[in-house]
Formats: sequence, C-alpha cells, structure tokens
Amino acid sequence: MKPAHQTMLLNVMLLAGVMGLFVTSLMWGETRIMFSHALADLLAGRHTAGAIIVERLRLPRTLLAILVGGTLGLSGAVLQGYLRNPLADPGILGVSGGAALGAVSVFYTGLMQVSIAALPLGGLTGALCAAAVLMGLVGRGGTLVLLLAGAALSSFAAALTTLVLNLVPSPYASFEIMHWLMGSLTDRTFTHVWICLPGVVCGTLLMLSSGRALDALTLGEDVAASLGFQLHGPRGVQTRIVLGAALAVGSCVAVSGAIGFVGLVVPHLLRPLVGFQPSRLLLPSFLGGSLLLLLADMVVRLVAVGPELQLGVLTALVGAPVFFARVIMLKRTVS
Amino acid sequence: MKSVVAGMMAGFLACVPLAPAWALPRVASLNLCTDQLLLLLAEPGQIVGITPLARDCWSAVLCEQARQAPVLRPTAESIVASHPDVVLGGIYTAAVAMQAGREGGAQVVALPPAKSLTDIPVQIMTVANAIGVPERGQQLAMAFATRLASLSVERSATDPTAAVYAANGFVTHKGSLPDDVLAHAGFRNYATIMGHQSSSRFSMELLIARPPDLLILDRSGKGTSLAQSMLDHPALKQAFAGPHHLDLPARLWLCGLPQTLDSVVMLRNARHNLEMSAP
Repeated sequence: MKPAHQTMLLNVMLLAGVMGLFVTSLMWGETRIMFSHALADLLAGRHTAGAIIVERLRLPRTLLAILVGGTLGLSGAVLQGYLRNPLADPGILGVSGGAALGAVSVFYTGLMQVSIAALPLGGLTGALCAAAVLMGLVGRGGTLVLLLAGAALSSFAAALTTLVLNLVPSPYASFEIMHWLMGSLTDRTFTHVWICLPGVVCGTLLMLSSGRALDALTLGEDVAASLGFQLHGPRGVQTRIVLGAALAVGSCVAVSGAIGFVGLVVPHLLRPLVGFQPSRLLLPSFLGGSLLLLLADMVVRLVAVGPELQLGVLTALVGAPVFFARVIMLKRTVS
Repeated sequence: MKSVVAGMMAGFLACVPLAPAWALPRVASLNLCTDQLLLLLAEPGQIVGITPLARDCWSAVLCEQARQAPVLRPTAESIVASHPDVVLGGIYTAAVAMQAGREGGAQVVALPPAKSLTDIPVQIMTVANAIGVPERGQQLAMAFATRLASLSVERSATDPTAAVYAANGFVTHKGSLPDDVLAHAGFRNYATIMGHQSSSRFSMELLIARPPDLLILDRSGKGTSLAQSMLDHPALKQAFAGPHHLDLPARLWLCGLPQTLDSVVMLRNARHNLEMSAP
C-alpha cells in the first residue's frame, strides 16, 4: 500500500476512535443516567438532571480532552520534527511548565477578574518565555543540551509556580499545585472551552503550515534553506513553530494544567505507521493525542477511589516507559 | 530541661514590673474560635493578643472588633514573651504554645470545637469564668438560650433535605455544628440520608443526579482558587435555581458563637421560600 493511502487510513481510523470515545465519554460517568432521555431533554431544552449532567459537566470536559490532547500530540510531533529530536515534548522541554506558571500568576492574583482573556494570555506569555529561553539556551547544541535545558527550565518553572501558589491569599491555593503540575479536567466549564479554543485553532494552523518545511529539514538546515524554505526571521519556520506551539500549549495549560508525556508518546507510536515522514505525522498526532487523553480522562472518572486521579499521572504511566526506552536507545547510539 | 525553661521563665518574670495594671486576668488566645469568644466577653485592655486570623472577615464574624485588639502569632515564643495570666486555645492546634503557657504559670483553657448549638452557651460560660467575667457570660448565655428557643422548630421525617457544599466538593456530615444548625432550622442533612459512607466528598454529578431540596454553598476563604471556583460552576447554578440555592457565609458556623443563630434564621427563611415555591 502506498504511504499516502496508509496515512489516510490511519487518520480515518483515529478519527473514528475519537468519535466513538467522544460519545462513550458523554454516556459513561460516575452516575448512571438514561442517555437517550437526557439527550431528548437536552434537545428539547428541558433542564432535567440528566440534561444538565451531559451538557454542563460531561460535554465541556470531553471537548477539552480532545482539544488539549490534540494540541499536545501535535506540538510534540512538530517540535520533534523541527528539533530533529525524538525526545522533544512540550512537557519535557518546560514549555508546559512555563505556561502553567503564567496561568497561575494570572488566575490566583485576581487578574482574571479583569478579563477572562487574561488567563490564556498568561499561559501564552509563560509558554513563549519558556520557549524563548529554551531556544536561547540550546542554540545549535545537541540532544543532551536540549534535554538538560528542558529539565532545568521545567523544574525552575515548577518551583516558581509553587512559590506563587504559596504567596497568593487563597487558603486553598497551595493544595492546588497538583492540578497545575499534573493536569486535570475535573469540573471544567464551557467558559474554559471558549478560553482555550482560539489559541488552539490559531496555534494548530500555524503548526500545520510548517509540515513541508519539516520534511525538508530532515535533510538538514542547509538543504532545507536551499530548497527555498525560510528557516529564521519573522515569517520563518522557527517563528511559526515556536509561536504556534506556545499559542496552543499556553491556552490549553491555562485551563487543564500541564499534562505531560502526550506529546512524547503519541508521535513516537505513530511514526512507524506513516513512513517516518514528519509532515504525514502531524494530523495523526493530533488525533492520537485526543484519543489518548479521552481514554485517560475516562479511566480517571471510572477509577473513583476517593479524590479523582490527576490526568498527568495516567499519561505519565503510559509515557514514561516510552521515554525510558528512548533513553536506552540514545545511550546505545552514543556509546 | 524543664528546670532550664523554668529558670528562664523566672528570669523573664523578674524583668517585668510585678504589680499588674489590671484587676482582671490578662488573656491570650491561640485559636480563631476562642479569639471571638474573648472579643465578645473581655473588658477592653484585658486582651494580650488574638490570632491574626481573627481579622480576616472571611473566617471571623467579629473581624471589625478584632482590628482594635492586639494581634499575637500563635507560637510558643509569643506566649513566653507576653506571659498572660490565662491562655485560651483549641484542643488540636498550637499545643506547644499552650504547653509554654502552662509552664509559665498561666491558666490554660483548651476548648473543643462546638459540635452543637447547645455547646455554645457552655463554651461562653467556660471562657467567661476563666477570664473573670462570669456575669457577662451569664448574660450572653441566657440571651443565646432565649433566642435559640424562639427559633427552633419541631423536627419531622418529612423535612426537606439540605446539603452543605463547600470548596473542593466537601459535604458536611453528622456530628458537626452546621449539621445541628440544619436540624434546628427544620432540614434533614442530605449527607446523612445519602449514607455516602467513608467519603466526605460529593461529585457535582452525583449531587445533580440525586438533588437535595436545598443546596447551601458554604463559601470560605478569600482569594481565587480552583477549589472555590467549583461552587460557581454553571451546572450547579442551573440545577439549583431560585429557592433551591442558598449562599451562606462559612464564618457564621465556623465557630460556635451567638451569631451562629443568624445562620438558623437564614435557613428558616430559605425553608419558608422553598415551601412557598412548592406547587
């Protein structure tokens, strides 16, 4: 089968999976409700308990799982392609951590009361600063430098987030560190969907527009430049990717907290299926990320032991073994 | 070790003027609830210090009066330094500071949290006796008992249900002051009826699927947080509209005080509204 057909088939299958889980996620939850009745009530505009549960509690949560998971998967694929490094991921590189810091600084200090847009802007600013610092630190350094810089940046951002949470007036704030460092979609509302949607759409479009340049970059920067791709400068590939990832990841982290490993594990699992071509990996990564996060969110809701698990814990359980495997492979190639 | 502490205390005491300026004992409080009882009962000048928390209007009913009183951090060091005659505290917190008070020769009174409305006059009297103002205590306790008797309603098995929903989805269970307030206002506690065993958290989904007649949003703590923003979730607003919803400031029943009866009044009004709206 031709790679193009294969990618198409993969996309269709992933999309079908996302749609299936979307419906299941609406039907399945902590309480058993008659889904057909709830849907009928919802469409008729009656505010029954079932309709409220589906519309106001489960729907925003499900939509956010799709948006956030897709964003993380896609930005992982784009960053891995651009940095030509299979370990790049917004979480590991500290971009998510920076976004969480920005969002926390806005949310708890009351700036959000001024305007609802302050929250995604805070996340975006944090993500952009983190990405800029990262690019500045790494320059043309190799994998090791990138990972070191990412580790330093994410632990620094986590420490600053904790500091901000300790300093703000709310007595609950310091207990909410887990939400921001591990991520969760518990009790999100439609406001949160609207908060993150514009950033996700713009960021995703910016990242998708760089697909062909990523293909060229596999041959090296000089070749890519000679093929007519502008790499640096205000309209270059680098700007588009960094801005796109920061926009999308920043607005997502602002509503869900930093969920790790999605951007690492999804492109890694899908890459062999698309013939190792970065541009073909982008759309499947988005869908795969959505699928993974939908699945994780359903597990979180069904495994109800006391307080809900954080989403990031589950993605880390899936993602960390992949990360370890990559590290071992890296060690073999170096030695 | 004890003798060293005692020696240090003796040295300390020798440094201060011995004749007390006040006839009444000087009192320090280490707990938000004893802070407020002290503010209610004490003569001006009797208070050595109350905790900084008493000035927070989210937690304390008497925050305005608390601004006039001196503030003391609830630590052993500040108790040793201010050597009060009486130290008031809770039974769970600031244990070391209370021990320091005991070793410094102060009378230490540890009050357990009030678990019912009838505990409140007892606690008022305990504090009043300890700080040497029993008449004032009797006056307040009597007034409380009279007002409580005028407010209480008969309980019945068909009373409407009410859930006290606090930040992070915590629900108030049996054996607490809010539970007793509910009973006095003619409500059955939803948490008890649902018999949700071990866990004290209720998810919003459960609350909406099997709704209580009245949802009491128990707001506490200043500032913004995820835990508190949960109470403003649009799903709750939609599912508990109009008379099915009541905002009740947590400071009213955080401590057992005469003002706690205001929460009984608010709840009785809410019950009245519920009955009016029922078809």
